[in-house]
Amino acid sequence: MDLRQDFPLLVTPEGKQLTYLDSAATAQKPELVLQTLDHYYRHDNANVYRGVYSLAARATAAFEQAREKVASFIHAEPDEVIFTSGTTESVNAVAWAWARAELKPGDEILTSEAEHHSNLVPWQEAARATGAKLTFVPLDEDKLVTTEAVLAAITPRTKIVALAQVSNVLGNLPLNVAAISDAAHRVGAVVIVDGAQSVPHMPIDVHAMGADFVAFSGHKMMGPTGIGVLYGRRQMLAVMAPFHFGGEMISHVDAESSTYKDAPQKFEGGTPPIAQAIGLGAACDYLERLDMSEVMAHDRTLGEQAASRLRRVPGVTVYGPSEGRMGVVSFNLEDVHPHDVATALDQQGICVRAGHHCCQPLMRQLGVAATVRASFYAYNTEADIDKLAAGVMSTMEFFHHVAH
Amino acid sequence: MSLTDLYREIILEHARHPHHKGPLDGPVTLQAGLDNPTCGDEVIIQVRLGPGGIVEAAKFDGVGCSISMAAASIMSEMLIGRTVAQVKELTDSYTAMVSGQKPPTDDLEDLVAFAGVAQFPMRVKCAALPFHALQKGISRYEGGS
Repeated sequence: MDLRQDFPLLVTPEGKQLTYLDSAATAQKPELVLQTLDHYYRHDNANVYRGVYSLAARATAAFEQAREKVASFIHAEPDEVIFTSGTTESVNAVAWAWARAELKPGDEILTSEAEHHSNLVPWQEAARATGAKLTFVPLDEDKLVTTEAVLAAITPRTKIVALAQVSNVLGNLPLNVAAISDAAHRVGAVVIVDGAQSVPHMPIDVHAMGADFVAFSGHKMMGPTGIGVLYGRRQMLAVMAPFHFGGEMISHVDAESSTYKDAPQKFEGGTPPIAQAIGLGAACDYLERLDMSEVMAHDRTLGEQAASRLRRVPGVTVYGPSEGRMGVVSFNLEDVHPHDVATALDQQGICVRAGHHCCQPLMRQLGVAATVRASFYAYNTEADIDKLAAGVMSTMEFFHHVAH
Repeated sequence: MSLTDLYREIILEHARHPHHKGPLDGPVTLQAGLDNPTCGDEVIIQVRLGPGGIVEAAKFDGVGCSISMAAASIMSEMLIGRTVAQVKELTDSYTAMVSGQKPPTDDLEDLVAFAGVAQFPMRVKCAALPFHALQKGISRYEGGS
């Protein structure tokens, strides 16, 4: 598929020259999302819920329709979809509102050293606050979390399993969350999935996955920034306490105490990110039109091709699975710092990320300070891989030739 | 704007074969370490002042991109023989140049090679890192003495 024409940024005179390979950080936005945002602000803008006038009713309907679209995208019920600001807030919500209430000293939070900081640091703090202990899934020789290793690491003390379905550095094929949820539930543990890198790139059925919570971000799936989702199983959301208090989330307020609405409203204190949610709904429409199975197959093909092309370049080390991967490829050039690589590629119009990718423990496991990362999405093509491979070769030549 | 504007030959040479790298043997008058949490670069600067408050020896250690490592290498070389006041002047001229606030001045000598950094805003921090570590060491030294 060649979808570049659907993405206004990629068809500007400047954008035409761009090989955008940083979708794991944030995705480009299709015309449909931009038009939806524009239309909302021009025609439907009002605060949701409280207004009696018809403009407010339109805004409320569009907002709730967005929730339905997101729910349908992940095969959840609308009241299981909580709008947050992003994956980070979604994980923190569970770490504050659920974990702090439920964890006791001696309980275990099972996570891994391959997690993004946003799915590690909140658990460090929850452990510190409750006396629970962090335990880590042993990584395999490629430093990957495998489903088998997760299953083996669950103990009767495990109370929370918090893992990324797909690593933002290594691009592993998705963990088998259904198997993990089964094993976790057998010992009475809950499962929270960091879906930041999986939900945008594969068909998701949260009920089939059996996870208690799934966190993901809108901007990585072609939606606006400032919007994310916490999916919570209905039974979990019923018992979980609110984490933001204020307007919209209350049922009855006295001077001394208040009662709260049911989920999802009890978790959405204050004016929600209305336009962003509606924009995310449009992103779901766009992705569903592409068909998520097709998107996944496309991204996998590009990720696997890029990894094998880069592996053939002498002096390049590619991290992650030896076969089978999503559209995320981290690599390094011998004796060239990732930042230098990223600057050199930028000069050739190639946007890649360089750094620790918010995964400092994983960098230590890999034995590097940083890596270069190329990540792919539906609008990328094989031509982008050709440019990347050529760019990497000329970068190698530049640094090795001039410096010797 | 091209890659060779940023990566002048002298920069690549120092990055590949840094001078004054490793721990400073003997007494250390001032030292400081600094890292750039966004990229994981780390640099430590150690300086010994001799009679008259003149830099007698300077070394750096750390890991980082070729810009930060070459800047640390050339900086360490240029510190020797300067007073603390002169080191501060050099630091000011250099940071003003790499951030694009002032054109290069003659006193910068080999550091003029970093003038191109100003055209690469995302790399200004890399170029400035060793000098920021040095500033930290100086202000600690002056505060403590």
